[in-house]
Amino acid sequence: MGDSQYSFSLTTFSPSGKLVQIEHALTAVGSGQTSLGIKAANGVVIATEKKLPSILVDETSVQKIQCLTPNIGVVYSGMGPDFRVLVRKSRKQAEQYHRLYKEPIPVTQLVRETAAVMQEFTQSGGVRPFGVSLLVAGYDDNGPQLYQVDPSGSYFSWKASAMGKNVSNAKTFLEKR
Amino acid sequence: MSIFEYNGSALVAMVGKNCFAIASDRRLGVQLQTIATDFQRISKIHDRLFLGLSGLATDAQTLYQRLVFRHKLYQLREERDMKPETFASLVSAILYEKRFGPYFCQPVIAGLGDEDKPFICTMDSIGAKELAKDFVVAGTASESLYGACESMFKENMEPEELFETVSQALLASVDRDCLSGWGGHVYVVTPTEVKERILKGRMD
Repeated sequence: MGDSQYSFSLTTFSPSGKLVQIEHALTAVGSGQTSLGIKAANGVVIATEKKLPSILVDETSVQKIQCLTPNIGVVYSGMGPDFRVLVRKSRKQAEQYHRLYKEPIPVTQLVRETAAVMQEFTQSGGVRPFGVSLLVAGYDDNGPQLYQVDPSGSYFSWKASAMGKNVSNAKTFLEKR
Repeated sequence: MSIFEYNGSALVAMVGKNCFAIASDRRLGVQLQTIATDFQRISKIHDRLFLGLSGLATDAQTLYQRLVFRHKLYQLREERDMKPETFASLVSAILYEKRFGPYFCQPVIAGLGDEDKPFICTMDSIGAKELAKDFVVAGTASESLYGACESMFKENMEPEELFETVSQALLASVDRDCLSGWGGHVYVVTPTEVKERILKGRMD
């Protein structure tokens, strides 16, 4: 990627109109382990590759898919530690919503708030964007839903999607099927 | 005189068959002097949710404005109206925020929830919810209202009969309270329409 003079400062646009740090974050995502999700008529399925660096690692200690609420789950591609931070923040937001309204948070609202957090880290001083893309799968009054959230904070609703390594092959496969 | 009795008020909400009624008096006073005889205590939050606020009128106005603000934002974000149960939880949270300097109001919330099931509740000035299946009351005339509603209430009343019952209970109770009265304001809400009626009682 060009514009290397502008790639150090997060809060500076490059002349081509890009925020280069976000592009780099997407590269980090693109080299992470593949994850994908598919929305069905009565539910959503998310899955990811769990490849551990050595056979000595205790696989039960690695949790790549986490629950945000009893009816919303999330999987990622990219940097595991960044994922943990986002999971923690999202869970807190979901609980705050519940404390206020005594109602489970709708999937769209949680996605919106999580995306807002990710966007904050692209516009604040002294921080870097999250190096993860999330696939949020949930079931609420509007039925099953699947959202992808990128490091820039943009989110999309998908019928099926994939992220990480080999994403183009995965997406081609999903499109065909 | 207690701060809750400064302006005087009477509020009642009652459940009928797939409908509810919410009624209030119309007097606004400053202690013993009557200032207005057309004061609105009940406000619409959306077509199927009504809020009545008894107690200190200034707090009732401010609280109402804050709640409408929150509901409008909710509608914009979630692209749907708030359910009555959700709204009641919100009111309770907002009242408790001011636990050590409260709003001197007692809200009465009445709405139609999922599947047109009527929902009523009241709470104290710091947000303790009281859900009821039949009726809830608030205001300076609440003790008389409890008695009148208890004796006049029947289950599964149709809208017309519910209107009669609520009106009679309200007028009888405010006649025993010098701080509320000057007529009544009754809303009867069914899944298809909202009927607003003004009652003429003893104008004192």
